[in-house]
This record gives sequence, structure tokens and C-alpha cells, in this order.
Amino acid sequence: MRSMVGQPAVPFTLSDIEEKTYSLDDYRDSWLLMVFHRHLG
Amino acid sequence: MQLQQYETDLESRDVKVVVVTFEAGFLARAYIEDTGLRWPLLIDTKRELYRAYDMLEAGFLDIWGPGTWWAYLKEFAHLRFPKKSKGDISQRGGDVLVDPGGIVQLHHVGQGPGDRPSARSILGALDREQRHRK
Repeated sequence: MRSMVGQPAVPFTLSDIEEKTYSLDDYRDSWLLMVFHRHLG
Repeated sequence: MQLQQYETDLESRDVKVVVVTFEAGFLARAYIEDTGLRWPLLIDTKRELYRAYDMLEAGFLDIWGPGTWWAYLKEFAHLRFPKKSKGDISQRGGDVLVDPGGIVQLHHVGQGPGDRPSARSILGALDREQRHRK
């Protein structure tokens, strides 16, 4: 499994359940923690 | 989610959090209601972001190996009983920490259900990085 530490974060544009859109650019100049869930239910 | 107990600690370190899921609709809505999640829950049904961070499908032994049973035992010891899953249990999860310059500083791909960095270890990594930058 390749480590991506030290590499640029992968750009994304994703929506939440209210169809509000979020992208990596929204978090420019902030620390961002992305928690990837396995499954919810 | 264990990390939610550390919301204040993360805020005090100026960390924004997003939770990513491949499941949408009822499951996503129910998850927010059940957990009281206040961070954005981003839906990645095509799992493109998962794949981009190498979070692919786990194998049988990753899912049902000793690490999983150990994690379950710890949950049982705290009188927490995981619900039987209705979702795709083979999808790997993980955590990615990105610094203000857009560079990945932590990249953890879970080998199985119990393999996640603790909130304390994430906060520790953050503290080290933030101290290093001052």
C-alpha cells in the first residue's frame, strides 16, 4: 500500500445529503482531517 | 465515532473535519441522526476519493482476522455491541490529514475494521507538526 505522506492532497468535490457541495479548495489554509468510513449501517 | 469526543481538541488546533462515506440516502441520514454528527458527511458513491487514497476492498482475513476480533473484544469490554452490518463490509476506511499547504501529513489505510489510528495519536501527530512549523 503506497503512502501518500508528503504528496499533494487529491482534489475532490463531493456533496452532503443536503446537496451542499464541498471541495478541497474550501479548506485551503486550514488543516483538514478526512475520516473515511467503512460502512455506516 | 470515537473522534467526535475530541471535537473541541481538534477545533482548538484549527482542524476542520469531514467524514466521507460511500453510502447515501437513508443510511447516511440515519447515521447523522444516530451519532449527532456535526461535521460534513460527504457522499462518495463512486468511491473515487477512496480509490485515490488507496482505500480499496479488504480481503476476508483483513475483515475477519485477529485484529477484528481484538477490536470487538475491546468494544464488548466497554459494553458496546456493534450492530450487524447491512452495508458493504469489504470497503476499507482510513484517515487522511492535510496541512494548510495542501500536503498530506498523515495517510492511514485501515487493514480491517479495528485498524484505525486513535484520536490521541492523530492529535499527537498534529501537535508535532504544528510545533515543528512554529
